[in-house]
Parts: sequence; structure tokens; C-alpha cells
Amino acid sequence: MAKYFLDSSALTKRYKEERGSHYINSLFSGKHELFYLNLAIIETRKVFYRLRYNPQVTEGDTQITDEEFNQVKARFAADLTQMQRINLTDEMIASTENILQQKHWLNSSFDLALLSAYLITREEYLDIILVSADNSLIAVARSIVGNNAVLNPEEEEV
Amino acid sequence: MGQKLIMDLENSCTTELTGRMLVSDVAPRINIEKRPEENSSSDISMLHQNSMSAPIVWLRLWEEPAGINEILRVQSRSRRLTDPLYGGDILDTQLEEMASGAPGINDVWQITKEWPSLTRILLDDRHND
Repeated sequence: MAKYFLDSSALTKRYKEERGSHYINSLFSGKHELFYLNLAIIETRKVFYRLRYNPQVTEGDTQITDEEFNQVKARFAADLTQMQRINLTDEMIASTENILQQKHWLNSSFDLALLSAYLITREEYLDIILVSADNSLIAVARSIVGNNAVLNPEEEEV
Repeated sequence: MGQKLIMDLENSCTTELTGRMLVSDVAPRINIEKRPEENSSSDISMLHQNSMSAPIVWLRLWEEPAGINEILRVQSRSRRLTDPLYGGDILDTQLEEMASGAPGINDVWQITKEWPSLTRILLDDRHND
């Protein structure tokens, strides 16, 4: 059974039809084992809450209704219950030092935490593939684990 | 029983001492140095009124139970703050409750048809942190 570690930038494609959405859907419909970092819950929820309560009109946001908000949140929660949650551990935090020491630069702390979590998870599941739509994360991850272990759903459209 | 009494005592002390039972039963563990002669309902008011004995009794009442409870509290607190799995059951329950009645993905796509890209919003947010 193929294993995939979904970054929230890839996971969010499941809730809005766009480039890469069909690929993410295919992961959910196939017999795959899907993993996510617990922090992804916070990051994804924040997107829904931003559109519901704090839309950034200048950035093209549209305010969504309560009904829409609840429906999408429910789908997201239902998906999470079918996935394996990885908890950010002290070891993963310690491991960020190794990543930084190798002079890999990531734009956000979240990327760093996620990459560290993925690398530790990969030590347990050697064949697990990172799925992300975050180009800076993808570039660094590929330089560490190779191109085949990191997928961008936008490049994998089915 | 002693443990329960200590817990009771701590709870009671936050507002007032409410019974003779607490003073007398807990006495062996809290080492009350001086207690009222009479076990009556006026014990508490007597403690308050007697400026000589009250501070001693109150001090002794707090010392040992507070120590034990502090240990229990610290143990509980440390697990809560250091165990990455702590509260996992709360999160699971929350997700399960939220997930009830979730629409299918095609319905979600209909709902979000006019929405901006969620990935774009997320990445903007991530890289602006």
C-alpha cells in the first residue's frame, strides 16, 4: 500500500477544484495510506476561518456563508479521520537543526517543521512520498530525498 | 480517605473551612499545631477571631496538603505540557463530531466553485508568517 505524507498546501486542493485537485482526490479514493502532520489542522482551519470571518478582499477573498463554512469544515474533518496523524515531537524539533546546518533555507518555520516531520516519518516508512504544492518546500525536500520522493499535485494531474 | 480529605481540604480552603471533620481527620497528616478546644460549629469563626492561634493553624493547614497537591498538580501539568499525545482523544472526538453529515467531495466542489484557491491563501499565509 503506497504511503503519502500530505502537506496542507496539497490537502487544501481537495476542497476546491483547481489544478492538482483530481490527483489529491485520487489519493483518497485509492487504497493508499495517507499521513498528515497535526499542525496541518491548524493551518487549514485558519484558511476556512479567514474566508468566513476575516476575508482579505484586497487579496481576492470572498466571504463565505456559515452553511458553506460548516460543510467544508465537516468534509475536512471527515477526511482527517481517514488519515494517519503524525504529531510533532521533540525529536522532530531537534532534527530541524540538522536541516538548517545543511544550509537548506526554507521561507517559513512551518515548512521547516513539516520537512523535519516528514524526514523522521520517512525513517519509519522508507517509501513514504511527500505531497506538497509549496515550491520552496518541494525544492529543499527534493534536494535531500530526491525527486521521486516528493510530488507536486500540480505536476501530477490525472 | 486521607487523599480525598486532602483534596476536599484544598477545595474548601479556597473559600472557607467548612467542617470539623476536615480539621480533626486531616490532623495527623497536616500536623495541626494548635486547634480549638471545642469542636463546634463556631470553630471557624474562632479561628478567624483568635489572632494568636489562627495564623498558626492556617499555616499548618496549608503546608502539607498544599505540598502534596502541588506534586500531583505538577505531575499532571508536566504530562499535559510535554506529552505530544495529550488531548489526542479530545481532538479525535472533536473531529468525529465535526465530520458527522459531511458532504461528498463533489458537493464540496460545488460549494467552493466561486471561492479563491485555498492553497494560494494557505501559502500566502505560510510565507508571510
